[in-house]
Amino acid sequence: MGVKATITGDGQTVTIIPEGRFDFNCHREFRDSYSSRPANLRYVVDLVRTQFMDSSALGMLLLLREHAGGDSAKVQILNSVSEIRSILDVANFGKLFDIR
Amino acid sequence: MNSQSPALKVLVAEDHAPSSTIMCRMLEHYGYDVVVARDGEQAIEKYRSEKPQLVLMDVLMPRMNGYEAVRQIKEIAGDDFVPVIFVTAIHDEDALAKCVEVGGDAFLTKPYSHTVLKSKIDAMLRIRSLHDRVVVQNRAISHFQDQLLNEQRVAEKVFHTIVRSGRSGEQGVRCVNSAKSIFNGDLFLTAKRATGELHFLIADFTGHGLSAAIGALPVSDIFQSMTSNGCSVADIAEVMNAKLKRILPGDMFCAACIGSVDAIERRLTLWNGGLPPVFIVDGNNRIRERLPPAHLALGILDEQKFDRSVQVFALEPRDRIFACTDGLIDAPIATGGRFTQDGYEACFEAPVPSNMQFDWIIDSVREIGEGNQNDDLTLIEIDTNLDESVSVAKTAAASRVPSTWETSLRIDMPALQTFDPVPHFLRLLSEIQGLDSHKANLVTILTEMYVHALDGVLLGMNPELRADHAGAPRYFEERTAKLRALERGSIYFSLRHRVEGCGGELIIQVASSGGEKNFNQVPLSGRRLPLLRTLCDCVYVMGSGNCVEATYRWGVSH
Repeated sequence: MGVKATITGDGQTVTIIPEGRFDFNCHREFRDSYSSRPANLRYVVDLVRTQFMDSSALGMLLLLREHAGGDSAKVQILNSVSEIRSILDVANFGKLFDIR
Repeated sequence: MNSQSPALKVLVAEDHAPSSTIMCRMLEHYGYDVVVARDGEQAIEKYRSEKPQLVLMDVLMPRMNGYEAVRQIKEIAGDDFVPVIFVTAIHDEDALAKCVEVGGDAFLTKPYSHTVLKSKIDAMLRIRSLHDRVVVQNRAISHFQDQLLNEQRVAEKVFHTIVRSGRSGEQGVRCVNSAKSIFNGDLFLTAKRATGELHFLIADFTGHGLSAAIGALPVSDIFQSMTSNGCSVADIAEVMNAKLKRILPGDMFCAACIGSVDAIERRLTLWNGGLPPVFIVDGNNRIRERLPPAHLALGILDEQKFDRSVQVFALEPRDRIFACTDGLIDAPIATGGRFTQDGYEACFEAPVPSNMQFDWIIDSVREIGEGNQNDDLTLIEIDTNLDESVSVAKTAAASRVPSTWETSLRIDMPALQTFDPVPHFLRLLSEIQGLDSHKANLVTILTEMYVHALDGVLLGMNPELRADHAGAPRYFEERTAKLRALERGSIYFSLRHRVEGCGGELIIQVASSGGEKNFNQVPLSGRRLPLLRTLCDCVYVMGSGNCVEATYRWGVSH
């Protein structure tokens, strides 16, 4: 459980790693991981340690995207596999995020 | 004590006057406000009248001893925490244990050092302030909880009213909608368009409770009113999206599938944003088409970015449509894991008759979920052989007193690409003239004339293919492409109404001009002209076929 956030490499990328269940219970932690950082950074959500994700997690991703500048945002979602990938696909989040 | 806060009041119960005096001086020195009692009874009295925040109590006193006094004081205090420190000369362990037993919080044996007494008082006051804080928080929490439960009940009531009133009660439509908490955020609505198509909406709001109810209200209103005004699936999706985008917070949205089943022209029109694939299941009970979500959910994109494009599919005679929310796919199963898309699709392989397939799916979810019916899912089935007869609006609402009026509208590019004028005129007719019982006829007349002008004349297509169920998907694809490529062209509408007998006469003229090619000279051929002639009193085709005039009389006694 929990959300880890690190600034990587050039200091221009914030990597957010939700662990375990990515659902409403980590709402605040997820928001805290980016809310005090400037909008013009590159944001990466790495789902490598996420075992489960629900629709409130999709809502949190939308808020992150809004924080990062909405349509001009560069938000990447990494390591989404099987079930989590299909949730992102059904929601058509590929139209808003760079999913890899 | 610091000077800002009011002095804390301490009750000293002690029958030995010199001891009492020493203790009082010391307490006053530390800044406490001191109240004195000489025996147990007086202590209770003073406790009631002075409401001290802390009590120092001797054990052995006349009239009533300290044990009994403390027992009563604690009873009076109830939920309030009033720390009591026994100060006594007794050293007997049992007697000291009794101090705690009757409700005392600490004891101190005489002789005592002032420093020790002071630190005991400080410790007790610290516990007291902690206790006070907890009490305040508990009160706030329980108040909040009551409020929340009440709001949930209100939301549930609103939501269920929408759900109950939101279905047109069509035969051949089945729905299972079960809720996990008080209610879930799933919504299923149906409504019939005046021309006979069945509109349906299956929606899943992020979040449950109040937030879902808030979103369900406008969704239901828009769905019902736009359907009854003859609007298309794309129009409904666009308006709903704009409304939800405005009212919902950034992390809330509504995954939805809006569809229209045309049982006569055998066509399914679908806009699916964020719901699992919709299935068309054929007469052999197998999945013939999987229609994956093409769009983001409603309430995410700005109006300008919204994609209103729909998918059109041809329906075979025995086709049924299945749609569900992700609650079905994500339903937990007894062996761990989820029901999954594969589990759902596997249900269609089972050798069960078509009228049992729906129950089979629901039973499968529940069976492998170990009979756990606390699920949170919605599944619907629509038999596309709905009412075969052309539906004429059932309610013959009184038409208004006929009057004379006229209106005209000219639409140029690029408005032609997106604007559908039929609902506009329908609303106008309904508002000026009533005519609700003629709605079905008027929608058909206006639609046929408009399709002829746009599809036939301006786009140079053969609208006959539109009705051919096998050709329909390709027809609509081609139409979208041609419409996008169209550079010039305009359509002119004129509606003139005048009093005729005890009813009225409506003359509708639709003319088109421009277009990429020369007029295609598409006559109102095939099914179209006879249909118009059946519905109207007379129909003229003028010019090179680019202008059609139809006369419709109502309430005129023949």
